[in-house]
Amino acid sequence: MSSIKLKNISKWFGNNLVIKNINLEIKNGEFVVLVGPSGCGKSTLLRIISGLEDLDDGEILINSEDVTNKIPSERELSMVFQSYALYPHMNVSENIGFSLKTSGMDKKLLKKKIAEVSKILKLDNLLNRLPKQLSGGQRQRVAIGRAIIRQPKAFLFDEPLSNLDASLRVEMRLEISRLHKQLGITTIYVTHDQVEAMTLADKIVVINQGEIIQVGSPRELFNKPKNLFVAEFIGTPKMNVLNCITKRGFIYLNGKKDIKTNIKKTDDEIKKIGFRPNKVSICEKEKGLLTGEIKFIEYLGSEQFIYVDCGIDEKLVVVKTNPDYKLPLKKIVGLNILSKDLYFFLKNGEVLI
Amino acid sequence: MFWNYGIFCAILSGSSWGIFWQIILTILGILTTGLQLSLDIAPSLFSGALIGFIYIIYQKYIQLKQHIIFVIITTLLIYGVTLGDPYYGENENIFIELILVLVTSIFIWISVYLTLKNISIGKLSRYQSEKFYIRLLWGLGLITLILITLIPFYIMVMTSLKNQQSLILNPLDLSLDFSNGFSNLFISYIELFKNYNFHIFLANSFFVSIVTVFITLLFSIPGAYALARLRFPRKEWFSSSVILIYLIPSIVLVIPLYAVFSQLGLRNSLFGLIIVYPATTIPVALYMLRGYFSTLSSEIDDAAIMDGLSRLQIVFKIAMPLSKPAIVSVALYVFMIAWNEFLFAFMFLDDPNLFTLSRGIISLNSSEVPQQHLMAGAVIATIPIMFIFIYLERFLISGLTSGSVKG
Repeated sequence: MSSIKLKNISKWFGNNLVIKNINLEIKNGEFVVLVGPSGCGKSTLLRIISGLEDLDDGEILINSEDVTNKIPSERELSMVFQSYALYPHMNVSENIGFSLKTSGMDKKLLKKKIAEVSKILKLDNLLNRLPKQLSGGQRQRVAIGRAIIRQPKAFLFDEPLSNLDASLRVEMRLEISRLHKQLGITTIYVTHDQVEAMTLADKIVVINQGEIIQVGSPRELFNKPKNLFVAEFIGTPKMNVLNCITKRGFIYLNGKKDIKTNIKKTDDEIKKIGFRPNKVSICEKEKGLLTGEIKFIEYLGSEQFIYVDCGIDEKLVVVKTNPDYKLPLKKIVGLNILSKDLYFFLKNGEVLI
Repeated sequence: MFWNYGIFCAILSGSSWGIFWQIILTILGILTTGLQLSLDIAPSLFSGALIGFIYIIYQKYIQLKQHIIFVIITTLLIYGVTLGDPYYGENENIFIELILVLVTSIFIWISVYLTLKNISIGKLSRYQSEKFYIRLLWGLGLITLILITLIPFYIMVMTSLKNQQSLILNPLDLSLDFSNGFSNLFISYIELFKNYNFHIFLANSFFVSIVTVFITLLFSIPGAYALARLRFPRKEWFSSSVILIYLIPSIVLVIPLYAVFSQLGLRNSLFGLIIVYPATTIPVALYMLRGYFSTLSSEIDDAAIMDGLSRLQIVFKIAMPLSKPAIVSVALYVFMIAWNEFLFAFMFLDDPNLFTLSRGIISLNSSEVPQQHLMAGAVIATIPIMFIFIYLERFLISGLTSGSVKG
């Protein structure tokens, strides 16, 4: 039960500033996901919070107590690692109970606690197994058990699902979500997978190149991205972004010839225009805002993605449609977008509001 | 090319196995019977080549009966080529010679049969010729290797069991003489422990080796862990410079050390050796362990830190149990170095009560002490290492870490 506050955190690796003056507040019981492309510094930030990595500048407060100079175990946080990092020479119950045993807990009480935790995680029957005798999902659960037994102030997850196969990943995602609801402990979760971020988080923190780009709920980030990076990063398939210019109050798209659209905008700074694949509708070619030839169709059963070549920037426009809607390849179609679904990006990448 | 043809392979394998077994079995014959046999490779070479040739032609019809026939043909060929006198020389024992030739023929036949099995006579496919050459070289190499290691050991053990008289009579005759009773065979060993203080040497060697292993591990485990995990300035420079001690031959070190140790009163004491031995073993132990530690996932260490362990506790509770195979092999290696070390022991130790085994054996090497005693000493020095190795070998299995990180 605790809140965590990061104040002006910076970290250098040699001559590289990998964390740039980060400020972040995490409320009690919140599930916060740090998301960003690989190498953006999100894992480093998590390790700084855990105390495994020291910081060069700034403060970390847990329940408004300064823990910046405290060693990891004194911060009373627990962490789940990408590789599970179980102790291979100890069985499941020893793995789970190791931290409490180290802190000198009474054996009977320890046993009771292990039983409690293993029940929550459905590991009751596996207590005497060694890690190598467990499947990936079971190992992951042991790692989580090791984290929750200490009743930490917060959980830190470092890409915990990226070693699992796809179906298990979905299952464990739900498990983690359920645990968070059940235990109500503040959680910080690092991932590069925006689907995980969207599904798990109360609050998503998008990080790029060591900086926080935007903080918000999944809904906010999806609907009101602050800039081009967030707009492209959140959502699958990616947002369609096309280069454009404004001429005489109208938007022109860059093609072989500039294509005039009927969108009126007077702001000269607009350089790019974006729209979500699910907000595009297909119509007769004469009636469309854009026209193009269907190049590929990806049929996924519950939905289908149609890739249309509109002759703009050599980029294909992705359209998400009803899977029952049958379209032949190479057909010329028109695309329509409602103007309220359009995003306009300025020269510096910011979204025009 | 010609080496791709089955017929060439047959002749090649026949002649090489012929030469090979002729040499080996003649040597073994001399060593076990004490007879003076001449070594002539030509008969087996020709017979082997011929039997290979015959086999490759008739290979389709091989059954048990044919095996016997082929052995007899080989034997007859050897007798034929040598005109009925395979081991010419004096004091011939025709019966033993016949057995030797028969054994040689059996070995030649089995080897030829196994290398040429399923090889056809004409041009071979790439797969077949590869199979043949691998079989031939594998067989020759393996048997050579085994014999090279076993024959000296065999000579050592056998010589140690003989008495002075028979050794002088014929030093090559290693057959055992049971006429004086079974316990008389071990007379050299009894003598060594009774009159030459070998129990003291043995104890000294054990003491020095075990202490060396202990000190080496004490320093190299934390050291290697630090080099593998921690960040500190000049780390790479430090870790590679540790190995530099091996650039200096120990004969160069021993002279200044002799002078210094004499001044300090460390010469002629086991304590002096215990200082020198770890100094030579720690660098390599550090290097080996560092390599192993860095293969362990550092996330396990992070997890242990989160669980409240200090770095030193991590070394003892996490890193050491996980690197048991590496630590055992390092310990074994260090033990062997210390046990076999001769130069420093030879230079530093004067007092017979402080001799280690290697130093003790060299002290026997004078005209008064018979050769079989020397051999018995060598056997005493070898056997503990052998048993330790056989015992610890099962700890050397790796794969202990599997399952800790992603699988």
